[in-house]
Amino acid sequence: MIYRKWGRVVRWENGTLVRVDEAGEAREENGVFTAQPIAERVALPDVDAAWVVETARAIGEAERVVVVAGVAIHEFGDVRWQEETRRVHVALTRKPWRVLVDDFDVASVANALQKCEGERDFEHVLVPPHIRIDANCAKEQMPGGLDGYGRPIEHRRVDGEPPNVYRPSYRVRPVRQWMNVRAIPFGTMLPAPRVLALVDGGKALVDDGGRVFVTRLRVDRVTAAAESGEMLL
Amino acid sequence: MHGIARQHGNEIVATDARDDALVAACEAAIEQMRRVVPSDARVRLVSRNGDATMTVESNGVSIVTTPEFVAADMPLLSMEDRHSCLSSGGGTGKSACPPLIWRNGSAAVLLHEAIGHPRELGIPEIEWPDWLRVDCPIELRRASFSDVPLRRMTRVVVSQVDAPFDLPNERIDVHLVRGGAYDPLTDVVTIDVAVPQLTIRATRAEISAALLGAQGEPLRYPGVVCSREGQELAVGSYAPLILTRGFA
Repeated sequence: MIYRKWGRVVRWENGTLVRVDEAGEAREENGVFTAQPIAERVALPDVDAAWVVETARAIGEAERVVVVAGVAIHEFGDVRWQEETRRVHVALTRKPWRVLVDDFDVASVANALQKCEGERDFEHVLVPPHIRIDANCAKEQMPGGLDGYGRPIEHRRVDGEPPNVYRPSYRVRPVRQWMNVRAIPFGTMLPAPRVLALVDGGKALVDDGGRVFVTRLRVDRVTAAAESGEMLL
Repeated sequence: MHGIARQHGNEIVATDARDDALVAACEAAIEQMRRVVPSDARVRLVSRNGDATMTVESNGVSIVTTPEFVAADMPLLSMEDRHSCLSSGGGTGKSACPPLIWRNGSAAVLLHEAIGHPRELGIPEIEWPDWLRVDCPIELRRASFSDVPLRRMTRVVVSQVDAPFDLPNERIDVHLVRGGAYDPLTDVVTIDVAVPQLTIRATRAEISAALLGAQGEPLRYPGVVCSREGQELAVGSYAPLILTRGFA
């Protein structure tokens, strides 16, 4: 079967605005993966370029600012589906720390970084669901959306080979991958400093009752996980 | 990947478009590489603009080479005794951090990180030994039509003029490097040596001070695929035999 994709992306990358329209197809036959652009175009919704520019400008100066808004129509056999994405990747620095922000509320992290009093160890920290870490605990794939073959992503315990595949681009062979992953809820959540963002070197920026510190992130020590996806390390 | 990008000021408009001549050139390059694929290794063949790059991995280490050199480079992946490259030819004892001999052009990776990336980023130069020469042109390059062109190295050619060189009896021979990084925030270079397995972390000033000498003409290092901002580019790399102090 042939996979086809029509995509439109507007991306702010460190001061340059990039608008990309592309359409292509891919096929896997006898162990050979082939991808190529196609001339056929389909009507794609507009991408909100103004949002991209305004979001990037609001973030201001940073080591890295990438803001992306995109829309894609995928087709695999008889299945056709549409995806819309908005992402922000920012690297803020204050020597010796590099703070990585992958959500839209960059300003509050930037303010917290300026208030950071130094490094401190804490017995526990709370990791909110929007901060993605590879925690060492039992995990599950939550249902929602379709995978790179247009198959539903279903609820599964993360164990063994992933049942779904991910296509980062039509030019890349689909790879098996767990998606919508969260820790399986267990244990008892306790009050603890809250992680605001990840810091290079396996650390995190945390808010401890209004005071801000950088602390080691012990991803191998998950103490509890909540239904909301929040984790207590 | 083929497409067209038009840049107006700080805005790029890019669309993919089929270019049959380019596809044919890339297919021909892939066919040329397939003919010399080693049978007992994991191989990735990439052709961009008709060029040919082969990444060959075996036993957890890899080289980046071309059809022309793959046969000559393969022995690097099957070196015996790769975990015990500490040579001791008469020394009275082993020091904690013996000097390093960077063989096979591998010092090009060290200086790619310590000199090349800071130049790309416009970071002020530091002093290097008088005998050291590093030809490292920087040009605007992009990995694909939809990428933002960045100041990137096109090659790193390390050479020496009248460098001192005194081969120590007790030393570690560096044969193959897995990867490296330069962090502009801390000015620290990290080199992940594959053969033998060790990791070096040092500032540029520490690396400059550690350069003890060099010998011979630049040797082609196989090779360097450099990634910045998600854009992977091959960088031709050459260096003579280089001697450095050990790094704690």
